[in-house]
Formats: sequence, C-alpha cells, structure tokens
Amino acid sequence: MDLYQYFMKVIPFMLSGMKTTLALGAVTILFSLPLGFLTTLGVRSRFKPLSWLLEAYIYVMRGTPLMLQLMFLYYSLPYVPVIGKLFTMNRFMAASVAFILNYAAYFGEIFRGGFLAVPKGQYEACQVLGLNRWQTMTRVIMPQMFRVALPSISNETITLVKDTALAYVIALPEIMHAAKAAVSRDAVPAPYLYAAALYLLMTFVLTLVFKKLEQRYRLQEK
Amino acid sequence: MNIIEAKNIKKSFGDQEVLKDISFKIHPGEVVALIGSSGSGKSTLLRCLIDLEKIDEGTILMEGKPLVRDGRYSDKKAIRELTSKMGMVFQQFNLFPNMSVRDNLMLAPRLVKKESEPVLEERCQRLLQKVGLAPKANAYPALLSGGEQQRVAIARALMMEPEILLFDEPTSSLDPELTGEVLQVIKQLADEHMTMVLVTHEMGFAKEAAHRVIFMDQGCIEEEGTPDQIFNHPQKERTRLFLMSSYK
Repeated sequence: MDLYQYFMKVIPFMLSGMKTTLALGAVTILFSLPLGFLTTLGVRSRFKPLSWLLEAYIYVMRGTPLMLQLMFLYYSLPYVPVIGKLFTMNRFMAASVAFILNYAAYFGEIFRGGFLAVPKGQYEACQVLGLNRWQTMTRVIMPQMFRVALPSISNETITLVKDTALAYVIALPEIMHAAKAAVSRDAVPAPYLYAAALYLLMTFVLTLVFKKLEQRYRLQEK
Repeated sequence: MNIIEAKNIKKSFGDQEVLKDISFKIHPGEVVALIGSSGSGKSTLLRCLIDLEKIDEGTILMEGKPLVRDGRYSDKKAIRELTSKMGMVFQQFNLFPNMSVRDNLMLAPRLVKKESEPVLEERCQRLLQKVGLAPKANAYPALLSGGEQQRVAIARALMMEPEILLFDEPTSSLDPELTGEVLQVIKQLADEHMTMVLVTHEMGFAKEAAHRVIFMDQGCIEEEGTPDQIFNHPQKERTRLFLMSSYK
C-alpha cells in the first residue's frame, strides 16, 4: 500500500476526529468568553464575598493542570456521594465543562488586564457628560477594553485548539485520539504528521481571522 | 443669584488636608481663574464642584440648590440634575479614542438628553465650526494634534449646553505653540458670557480673559480680586512670591 492510498484510508477517520476537536473548541469559546467577562465583572464587584469567591475560582483553575480538571470531572465526580449522580456526563459534556471553566478563568484575567488599560479619565469624561454606568460600560469602556484584550484573546484561542488534545485522557474521539489509534493499529508514524497538519490548518485559519479582527479595530482609530 | 456658592469646604486625602475651609461664589457670566502652585488644591476644588471628588465638610450650592449641604450630599438624582448643568474640560482631553469626532460630540446628548438627531446634527456642526474643526468631523482623536483634541473636548462639553464650564488646566499638556488655539476658543466663550472656572498656569491668559482671579496656596484661598489687583498690586507676600516664580 503506498503513502497516498494509506492517507486516503486514514484521513476520513482523522477528519471525524477534527470535527470533535472543532466542536469542543467552538463550544468552549462560545461559553467561556462571556463567562470570563462576567467573572471579571464579579471580581471587580464591590460585593466582596463574590469577588473573593471568583478569585478563588480563578486561582484553582489556573493553579491546577487542565488535564487533572478533565480527569476529575469525567472520572472522579461520579463517585462523589449524593451529587455524583447528577454530574455523570458523557465524554464530550465533561470535556466541554472542563474547558469552559478553565478558559473562562483565563479569559477573565485577560479582560481584567483590558479594563486596567482604560485610563481613569475615560470614566470621568463619561461621568461629567452624564452617562450612566451601563452606557459608560457598553459605549465607552468595553470597546476600548476589547481592543486591548484582542491580541491576548487570539493567543489564548490558538492555545485552546492545541489544548483540546488533552481530552485524549478521557478518550474523547478527537484528532489525537484518532491519530494514536491509527498509529497503534497500523504501526506507521504518518498519522501523527497528519494530525500535526490538521492542527496547523486550524491555527492558520484562526491566525488569519484574528489578524483581520485586529486590523478592523485598529482602523477605527486611524 | 450666584450660579455656584461654596461655603467652608474641607477635604482630605488620607492624612493630607487638601482643602481647608474654602468659600467662594461664582456669578453668572463670570470668568474666574484659579491659580496657584501644584498641590495647592485648585484642581481638587474644581473636581469637587462637579462631583468627581467628594468633600468632607461644607456646602456647595448650584443656583441655590444644594449639591452637598454641611457635608451631607443630596440624593443621586438631585446630584445628577445639578452636575448636568456643568461641563468639564480635562487636562488630558479624555476624548473617546474609539469614536470619531462627531460621535464624541453626539454620544452624550443622544443618550442623556435624547434630543432628535437633526437638532443634534445641527448643533454638532455649529460647534465644530466654532472651534474651527468642521473638516475633522469624521477623524478619530488619535489623528488630531493636542490642540485640536482639546478643542474637540470643548465642543463636546458644549454639546450638553451647560450653564457653566470648568477647565482643569486645559493647556498644560499641550506643546507651547498649540496653547494659543485653545485659549482663543476659551476667550471667545468668555466674550459670549459663558460662565467659566479655569484652573490654569497661563498667567497671561488669566490676566487678559478672567474677570476675577483666585490665588490658592496650601489648600486655602490666599487672595482674590480682579486681575489688576492680583497681578499688579498683590497684597499678600505668598501671592507676590508665586507670581514672581511663575514669570521666571
């Protein structure tokens, strides 16, 4: 069997893995970005217990390996008395929850940095012009914060695509899972290279998309 | 009636007393220059008038209505209503960098005053014309010079049709050759009898445009009077020393 034939034989399998990878990545971004934003607002809140709780959440999420979080959610949580039964999830669910919680913490920190980058004078200008808090946030502060945060969000999103490979440890049938299965079954090295190519393809597209976004937001200012 | 009346204002930041028992009045149509060395409390005083800082003790009345009386602030709604009659221009301009000049001007009246779009459009054009920036309506602040940005900031404040304008060192962050164009706009407003309070280091301008000059030193009003009295016949030693050092 030549290389081309082998490629054609394995690639459908790998592409179905990529579908799972993309689904996991998309679900994570979709939920963790808004959740991360809410986290930042909560941390900045004047209601101290909420602020402390969320800081503890960020600390745990950033302070423990994502792999551990994945394994805990999928393998350990069902054994926890009483609540365990409620939290028995299928692989994709468990992976999604772990990724969303983990990435929301990171995005929260990115947004916090974005907030810090907006000068105090912007809030004061809004106040003396009579804008209320909501108007100040949505019209003036958030657009500026988002622009500052965009490069970091882009970076984090690319990391996310590669991090999805961690779902391998709970046997989610994503790209790595497919590659490993093919390598073991056929005793050839090529599937890992195919996997690498697929990851590169995804990160390439993301890089382009974020470049366009950054350009658009920069153009607004010039 | 006085447009602003402040009585026995006191304010501290931590242990440091920045305003020690300040009282003064501003009459309608008057241009008052607040001068004094940095740290004398003049910017803080200005910021207290528009509620960017809270005073600890004393009274601030606007057209007879209390913003704060004997250290007790009125409710939020009353404060909003009173401060909405004031506009403020900052040292750092504080334009919104994510919006064009036109949107900088239109945002607040659109959201707060809820006036009709044609009315706002007309006022926006008129004010940009007034500050000499009509051709820049679609530019973003980053593309403007400091002087142009400050003139936009003045137009933005005027969009809300305030009864009194506060200026916090409006030319202090400008290159010397750009201060003239900003001062000229302020002078024009003075000629139109706009009530204004200016914190400024531009002694020449204070002399020329202000009706009254208040000299502050270490949190107190040391001396006040007409520009002629303050600049040509200062009574207090501190005033003399300050003026001498600022003309160097």
